[in-house]
Amino acid sequence: MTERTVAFGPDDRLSGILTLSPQERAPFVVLLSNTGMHHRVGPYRLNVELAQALAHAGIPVFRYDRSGMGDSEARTTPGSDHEHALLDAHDAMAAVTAAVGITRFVLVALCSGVDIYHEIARDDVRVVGYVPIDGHAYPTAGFVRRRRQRFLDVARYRRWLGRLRHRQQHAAFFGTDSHAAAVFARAALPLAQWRADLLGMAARGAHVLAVNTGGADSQWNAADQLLESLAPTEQAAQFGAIHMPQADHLFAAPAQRAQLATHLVSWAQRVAAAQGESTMVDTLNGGSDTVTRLLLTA
Amino acid sequence: MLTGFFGDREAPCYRAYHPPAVAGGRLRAVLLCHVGPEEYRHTQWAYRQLAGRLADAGVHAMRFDWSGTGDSAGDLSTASLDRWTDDVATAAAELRDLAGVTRLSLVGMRLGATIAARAVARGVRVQELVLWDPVVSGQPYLEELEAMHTRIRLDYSYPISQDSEPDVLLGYRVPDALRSATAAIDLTVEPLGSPSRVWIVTSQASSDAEQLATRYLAAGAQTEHTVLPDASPSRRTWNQDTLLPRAIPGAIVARLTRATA
Repeated sequence: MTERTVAFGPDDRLSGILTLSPQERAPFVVLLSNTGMHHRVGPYRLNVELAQALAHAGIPVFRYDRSGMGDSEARTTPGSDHEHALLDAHDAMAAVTAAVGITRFVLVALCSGVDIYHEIARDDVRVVGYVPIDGHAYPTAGFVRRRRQRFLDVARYRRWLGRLRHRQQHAAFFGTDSHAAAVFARAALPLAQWRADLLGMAARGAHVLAVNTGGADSQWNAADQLLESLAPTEQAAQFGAIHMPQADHLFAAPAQRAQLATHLVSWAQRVAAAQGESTMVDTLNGGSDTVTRLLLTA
Repeated sequence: MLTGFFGDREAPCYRAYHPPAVAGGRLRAVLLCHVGPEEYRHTQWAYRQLAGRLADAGVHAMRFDWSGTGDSAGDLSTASLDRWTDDVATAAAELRDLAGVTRLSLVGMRLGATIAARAVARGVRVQELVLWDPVVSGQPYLEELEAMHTRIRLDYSYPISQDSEPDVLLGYRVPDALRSATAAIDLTVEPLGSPSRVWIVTSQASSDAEQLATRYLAAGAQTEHTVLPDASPSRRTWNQDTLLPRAIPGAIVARLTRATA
């Protein structure tokens, strides 16, 4: 495995690290970027560990800082953070293509990172895979049914008593108001739009893997929830979901990070195999993405 | 900012070099030593800001990640305080090469300050050693981290898997050897070398820091200890995931800039 820094974007003001494997490479590069205010290393070094695991499996990874975060300078052109983040992602893809000649991408995003990558995964045909982690979630009948069962979980009451016993210490650290809810609240996409976006991705041949942690348990409580939310779809095979109830939202537990890496590598290898087939089709058809998409969904 | 890797080709360290914003720059360079891995994500932004402000003031500044942490290669399984102390020497050589200067100051925060002090004791020559909230004694520092670890776990209302991982501390597997070596830190008795100038700046009153300052004075170093109330990883609350210290970085820039005038 080798790593090298890549300066990219306007005046090379943005910074990323390309992780490559000496083995045969997948036909796409995985992109990782910031979550909240965390720089590209990720909370608890999550992005670095994912990059190492993927690269060892022959899957190149580019982890970068969005403009104005981590080691990337702010953009000087007018625009919102959201608009800049979209530009950053496109500049990152251009830089990766220039560096290694690969034109397809898999986007992996955690929490607020999903807001940007969802939009790009929806709109950019170069994106062949999309992994939202604790991204958008919608209650289904199954969710409500499963959620009732938490009242039967004895450990739940033990945890609650533990927090009650340490309430002073807890309050000193977390406060007693509802700051957390206000800070972390994000506007959800309307279900119909989210569903249309994901089905649109699948229709052009992209694969989606939704990962949810215990940190999202108020919105998500089973892997089945993804397909429950999508309703019956002919492209079900292109959707995968992993529920990691013992992982916290930022993957503080090393074992959970390792488990996520294992899931991600396994899924990415399947996408690579599918893309390998489409690459052959792509070549036969002179590299036309449009033709490739039609054949994949035929 | 110029990013890259340096050191061991098999396991290089990541660095971000901030050249002086003023053409030519001053004949002075500052190497910034990060906090320990458990506090890294809370202070990365503050360090980047500090490096940028130093560069804006005409100083060559460089940050780097310890071996096995941040963007550097490897992981904590092979990390050690000795290796990190060696990293300081390698990083200092890298900065001297990049900046083309021979005069260099070291700034270290928390565990990074401790390692910077050890690097100087082992022969890294510096013009000024700045120790920001240094970890003078390892055992209380470890206890602080463990208390923070417990405090954060209290927030979980769902089952998490750290119960079965006793070696985990604030999200990282800390090998026994590294934990023991950290607990054994005691700058009140360790050799300190003979730096010419030492500035200890702490975000709250600290008898440990006073004691350390007394030792440096006794060793012949021109030494000051300043208390400047500011944010610190040791006193952060949940909403201070990214710390934004202001007073101490400002004072560091003012001091190191003045020293080069």
